[in-house]
Amino acid sequence: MSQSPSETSHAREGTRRTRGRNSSQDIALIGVFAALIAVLAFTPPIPVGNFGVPITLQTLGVAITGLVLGPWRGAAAAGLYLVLGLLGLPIFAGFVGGFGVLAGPSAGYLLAFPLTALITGLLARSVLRRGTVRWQAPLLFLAALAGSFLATHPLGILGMSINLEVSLREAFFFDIVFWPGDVIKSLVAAGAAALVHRAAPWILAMR
Amino acid sequence: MRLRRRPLRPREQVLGRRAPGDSFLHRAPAGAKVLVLALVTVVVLLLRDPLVGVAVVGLVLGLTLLARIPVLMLLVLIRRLWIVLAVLAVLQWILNDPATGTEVLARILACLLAAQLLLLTTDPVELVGVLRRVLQPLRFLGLRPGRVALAALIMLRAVPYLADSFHMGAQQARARGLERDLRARTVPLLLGAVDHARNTGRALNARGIEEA
Repeated sequence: MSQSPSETSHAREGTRRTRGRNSSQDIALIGVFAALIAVLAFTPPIPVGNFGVPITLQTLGVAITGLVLGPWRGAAAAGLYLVLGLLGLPIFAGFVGGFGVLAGPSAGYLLAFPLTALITGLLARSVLRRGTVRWQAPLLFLAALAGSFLATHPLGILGMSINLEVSLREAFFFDIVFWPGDVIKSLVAAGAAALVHRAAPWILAMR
Repeated sequence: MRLRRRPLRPREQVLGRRAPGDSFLHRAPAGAKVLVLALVTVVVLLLRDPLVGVAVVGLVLGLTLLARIPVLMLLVLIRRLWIVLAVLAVLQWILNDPATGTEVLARILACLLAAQLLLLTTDPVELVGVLRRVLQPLRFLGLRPGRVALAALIMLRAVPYLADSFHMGAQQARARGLERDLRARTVPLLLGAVDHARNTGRALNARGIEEA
């Protein structure tokens, strides 16, 4: 399904360069990060900052997955989360699961997740390969933001417009509500991902 | 010692929320149930008729009664989602005419309740088996269903572990007065997840397991 392109390129890479690769470790990372997205999606909105604006963490997991795992494994993890949720595991926000979510208002956002992880991961990988450590966190922040605004929001608006029978314009205004939270989440994801790459360099060293 | 102000709440259980019983719905093969659910969803999504939505809701409730599954276990879904549903109802009331609004709400409810019924009667591990079978045709693309299934099983195992770890991280953040700091609540979870993945990968390597 949606994760097939990522997995195939994965397998092709495996045959091309075998040195330094560890597929069991990759599978473990993909599975655990898919679980991470699920756990963050479960948490009820938590109040953040001095004003206590409630923020849901569903997209935070996707951003972190892309930033930490890189493009292909990140998209595979988000795709695994999406496919298992569609098959019926109650792993979407609010403990919902099954094809039923395709009828709901969040369908577009959910379907965008693998693409978001892919875009974020591609940008993050190039940042981590070339960038200096000093600029790492700010550039990762931009990578997370780019993934969110190039994939999650456009597809989310489209999904709302189709499923709620409203115009694209109205859906766009519903979507704006999520923007401030998104910026905060991207900041947190970038900081956390930079920390992980310093604490556990083996994640990308195997790439 | 001060008394605990808040009583201990049972931990929110994520997976394995199955309805008790051994009805025809429990015994039906998981693949068939997923297929029926997919067909129902497609039909409801394509027809976009309020009558179809309401009919599917009725059908799901009828099946639930027939299989002797406690109806409350099904309707718990509405209690969990009532805020979302209420917001949707208000929006539809403002933006669309009553017929469209009914159709949208009935469609969403029908699909979600049908999915909940599948979940109540199916074991998560069976769903991984279904995923594996669904992916078989993609083998010629180089996809290995066994590996995907292994990743899915690792995910099932990791969800309760990470949920516990997140819960503990939240308590630690509260103890430091940082319950509103997103970083203090997510970084321990993330580092725990990386650690868990590392250990799982090592365990798989040690046993030479690459697919399930």
